[in-house]
Amino acid sequence: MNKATNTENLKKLLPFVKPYFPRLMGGLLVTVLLTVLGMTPPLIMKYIVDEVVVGGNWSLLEVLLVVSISIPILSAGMRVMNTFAISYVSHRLIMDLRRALYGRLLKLPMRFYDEMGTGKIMSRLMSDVATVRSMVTMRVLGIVTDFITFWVAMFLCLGLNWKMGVILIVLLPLYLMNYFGWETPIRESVRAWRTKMDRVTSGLQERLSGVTLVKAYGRERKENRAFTEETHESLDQAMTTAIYRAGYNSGVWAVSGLRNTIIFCTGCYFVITGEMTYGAVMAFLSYAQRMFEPVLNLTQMAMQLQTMMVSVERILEVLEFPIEIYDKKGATVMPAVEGRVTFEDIWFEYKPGEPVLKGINLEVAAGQMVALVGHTGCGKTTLTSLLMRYFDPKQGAIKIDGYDIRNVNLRSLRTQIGQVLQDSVMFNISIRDNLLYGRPHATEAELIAAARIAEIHEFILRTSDGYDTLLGESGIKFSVGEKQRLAIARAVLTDPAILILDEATSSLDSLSEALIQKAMANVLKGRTSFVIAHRLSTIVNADLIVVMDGGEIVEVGNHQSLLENEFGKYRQLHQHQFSGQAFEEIEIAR
Amino acid sequence: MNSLRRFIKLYIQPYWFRMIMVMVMAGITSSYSFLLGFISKLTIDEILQLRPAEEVASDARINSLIQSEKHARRDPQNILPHDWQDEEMSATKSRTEKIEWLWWIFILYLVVRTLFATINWFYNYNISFVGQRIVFRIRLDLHQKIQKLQMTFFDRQQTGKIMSRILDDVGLLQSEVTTTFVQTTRHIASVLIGIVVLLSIDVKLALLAFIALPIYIVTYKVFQRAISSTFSRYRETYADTYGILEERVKGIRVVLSFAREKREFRQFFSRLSGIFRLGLKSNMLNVGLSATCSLVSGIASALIFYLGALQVRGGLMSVGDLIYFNMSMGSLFVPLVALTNVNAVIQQMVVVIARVFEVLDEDVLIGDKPDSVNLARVHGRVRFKHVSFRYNEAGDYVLRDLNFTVKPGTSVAVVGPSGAGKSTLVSMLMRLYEPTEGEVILDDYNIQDIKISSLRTHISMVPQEPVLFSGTIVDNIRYGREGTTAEQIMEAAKSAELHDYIISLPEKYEARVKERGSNLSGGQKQRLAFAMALVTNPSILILDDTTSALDAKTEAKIQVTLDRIMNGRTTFVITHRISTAMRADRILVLDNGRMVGWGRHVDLLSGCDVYRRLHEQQQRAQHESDPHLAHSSV
Repeated sequence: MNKATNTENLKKLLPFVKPYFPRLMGGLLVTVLLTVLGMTPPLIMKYIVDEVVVGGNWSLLEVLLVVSISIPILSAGMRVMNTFAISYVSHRLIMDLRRALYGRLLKLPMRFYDEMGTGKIMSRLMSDVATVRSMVTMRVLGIVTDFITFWVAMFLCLGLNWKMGVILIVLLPLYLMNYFGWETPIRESVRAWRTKMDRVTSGLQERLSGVTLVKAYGRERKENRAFTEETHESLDQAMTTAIYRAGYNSGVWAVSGLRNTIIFCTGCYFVITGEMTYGAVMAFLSYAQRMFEPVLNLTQMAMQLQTMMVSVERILEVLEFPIEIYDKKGATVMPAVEGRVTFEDIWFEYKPGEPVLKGINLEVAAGQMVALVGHTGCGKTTLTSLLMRYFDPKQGAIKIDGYDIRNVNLRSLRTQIGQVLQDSVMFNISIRDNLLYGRPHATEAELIAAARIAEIHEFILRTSDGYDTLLGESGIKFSVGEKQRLAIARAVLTDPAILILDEATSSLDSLSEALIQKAMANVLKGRTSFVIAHRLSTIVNADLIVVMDGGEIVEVGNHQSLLENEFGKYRQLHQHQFSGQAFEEIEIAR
Repeated sequence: MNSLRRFIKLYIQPYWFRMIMVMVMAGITSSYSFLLGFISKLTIDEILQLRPAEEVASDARINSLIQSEKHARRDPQNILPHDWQDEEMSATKSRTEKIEWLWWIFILYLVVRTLFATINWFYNYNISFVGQRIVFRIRLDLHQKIQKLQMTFFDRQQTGKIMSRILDDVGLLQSEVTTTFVQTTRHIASVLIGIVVLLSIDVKLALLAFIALPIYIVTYKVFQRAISSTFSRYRETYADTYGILEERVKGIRVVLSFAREKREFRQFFSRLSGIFRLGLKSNMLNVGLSATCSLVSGIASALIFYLGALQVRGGLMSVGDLIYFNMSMGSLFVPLVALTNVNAVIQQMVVVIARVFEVLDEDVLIGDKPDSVNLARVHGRVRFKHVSFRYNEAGDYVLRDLNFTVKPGTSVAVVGPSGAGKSTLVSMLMRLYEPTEGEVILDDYNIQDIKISSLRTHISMVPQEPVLFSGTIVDNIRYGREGTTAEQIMEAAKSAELHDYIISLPEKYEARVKERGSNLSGGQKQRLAFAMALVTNPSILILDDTTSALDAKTEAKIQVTLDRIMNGRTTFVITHRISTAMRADRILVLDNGRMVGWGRHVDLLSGCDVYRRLHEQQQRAQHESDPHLAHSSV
């Protein structure tokens, strides 16, 4: 990451800040005023001591009282105003950013999700945005405040007494040296501690996830010993860190103590010689205090900026990921279709040069049931994903009732195709809301009818709150079979003309198995359906069996006709299967 | 509160001396700012001899002289330490005298600062010392307890939750416990010293100042309540949004397939604007609090300073006292606020402590009976008599009424759909779970009457995925079986057919196994796991779906080894593969916790529906989704 890309990246985020620019500037201006105002009390103190009490100008006292009361009032008001401006901007900023990110997310191609993964996407939307927010607003304010405080304090100190000002400037490096001297050992020791803690964590994880083994081998005592050792090491390291930290703290005490001592005594000496007033010494002391702290903050800026740039870059990864699937200009709404599907010479590849589908041609009449069979990775799932337009083919066209799916509105396409995935995702909302997901305004009767078709109605009634039972973490957990039936109900409710069904591969218990079979039979009636088949009954009943291999369709037909083709792949696979089994039996016999 | 007391007794008491020392030091450090104030006062009044001036300048000197005398009489406690109490003190000093005295102040100043820097160091060090050690001991106790707990505990608690209890919760305790205890002492000391100091300087002014303090605290409390409720609502909304987002990202295919983007977007937006509103509100409340607080303290100090100045003018107070008073009042506000918060912090701590004790107090359900036997030899006859199992009273049965007998030296394959209870069944054999009803009999003993350590040396388990540790090959084979000889290890390696490979390595048996065995092939890892299991020469062997992760070629080779290993041992084989199951003497078919089949392959094919179905599906899996037709259906 170099400077140029950094600036470029920041520029890309500028449009998000722009609408709030006047507010931000106003906030900044108030910040400057506030900082300056915050620097006045020591000066007032000085006047009271020097002019009024010691100087005898008692008539000034009331004036100064008014001033010193009005300063807190003024600054309180300004702070509220200021925070409102800045917080407003910062919270709006994250809202806008997250909104833009989410909007983008919903438009991004499947490829993006597959490549990035949920965890990374989440951290980009949530924590990275928060980092940017805190940097843009809070840190900017911090920098401004620190910067002004430092320079104003320094000039005031020099103005109050330049000789002492010089002493201060000489002491400043000492303060920084303490910081930088300890910084490296502390950081390294913390890192070492983290590594040790990581070892503790991973050891613990290993032991907990392998708890069966630990018990089976009677390792409890040994594991305790190992844990003790690991934890003890991390304890020792933590103590080293603690010693360094204590050293740093004492260093700060020592340096600031030295500073105050020297300034106080020198100041007092100047009071005696008449070079300075005591009020000035007091003021000087307070300013000296304020001068040191900001310097440290400013030195840490670079690192924080680096953190922010990483977050910015990651946010841009999402914002700039190309949208591949979108409505064409002039895309029409696809009217209710019958479900005639044609694949015309479809070519597709995930990675350039590695075609997954190689010239697929297939015609499916409305209402037909198509079983897609073939090895893992032969392109079955990809083919159905193309139909849903999760991807666009590299070449060729998919038509439904004669409409090229690229020319129709995405929404009108997807609402007419139902999809039941192998491991069906259900959201952590009530069963009812899950079922209504695709069609929020369906009536209760329609809802129950769909559940009946999917053979899940009885089951739902048996749960604690029926259709209002919550799913997921706070609610009940469903088995794979139950979830799949729920997903079937969810898809059926939208009454799609075309249905894509990916059968669960995992072995289900006998009841689930029977129910799913029944549900599928109910659902497929009168719809064009593509079933990625794992079950024998599905294959036998299909109107059309499409045998795929290496991204190509090798055979199409129904069960009978395919078996009849003596040199067909289907029959061949069947033969191979048969011989495989024979081989096994021979082996057993041995 | 009870748990807090227990916690103090168990974990803090051992360090009582250090703890008290730290508290004493905390008390001492709290006097620091007051001490500095006092030094300033001394300097102003006695060395610089700043005197309030009258409007009429000519009388100023005389007046100040009179006043300082008056002052010295009236305020005996503010007079310098004994040896400084010279006659000249109250008189105006000459310039050289002043400078000479200033040197003393300089030294005093330095001494005080050095002293406090040192105390500060000890203080910081010891806080960490005690805190870290407390954490260390709690972690050890938790770990020990967890090692003792039964499997049902682990099924109930997710690994992540247990981890967070041992690591995060306890880590929180470290930072909270020590700081809370110590800081509270420090703040109390500060407040007490501050009150005494203020009263000693000027009673009237002090009483006035005490009026401002409650206002300050009340403001704080009022805002604090609103802040914490807003903040917790903010956090809830945030967590909620996070959860929803995560769900949607995971289920993006569902969102897209129902074309729900617009609705989702709108919903997300409404949540975001909720976060926005609450975030802004919480920020505003925070600034409201700090602005009001500084307003109160600012006005109060201004007024008191004004009144003080009038006192000084009237000669009732010295200039030094005025400044001393002002400084002391300033260092009273912060600890006061902190003290009002102590309760909340303690509450939070109690929650964490309670969670720690929750684990520590968990009952250990599986343990040795007092008269349990130690078995020297086991034949390996296993009998399940009406065995049922469920995790808790409310839950469904995982296993229901299992009855079967396995003859010594024979093998049983356990098959069934996932979730049928296969693993639970074999775990019961090792007493990782106890039957809810019925009993498991080994040879002639109910396994509950056998010493756990003895039982488990006679039974070995090879897990689904070999769990290997970083260490040498010997370390791995010897895992858990202390006192095994080199011969035994070599014997085990030979049985597992790993010996030849091992001696082909440059370091032989001392060759290192990398983390998770990443420098070994799948087959070698599996063989190493066999060697681990075989080193005690167990009579009973449990193979938990051992070969499922291997490719066909490796599996075929391993199978030969397995057949040899299994020879003469009672073996339980959990498997998904019918081809593996067919090799066993008996097959046990589980479906939903019930035994739906028991017999040999051929018998089950005709007599057990579940088995037949598994058989069909399994063949598909073996040929990796090959389209197929079982010949029976043609």
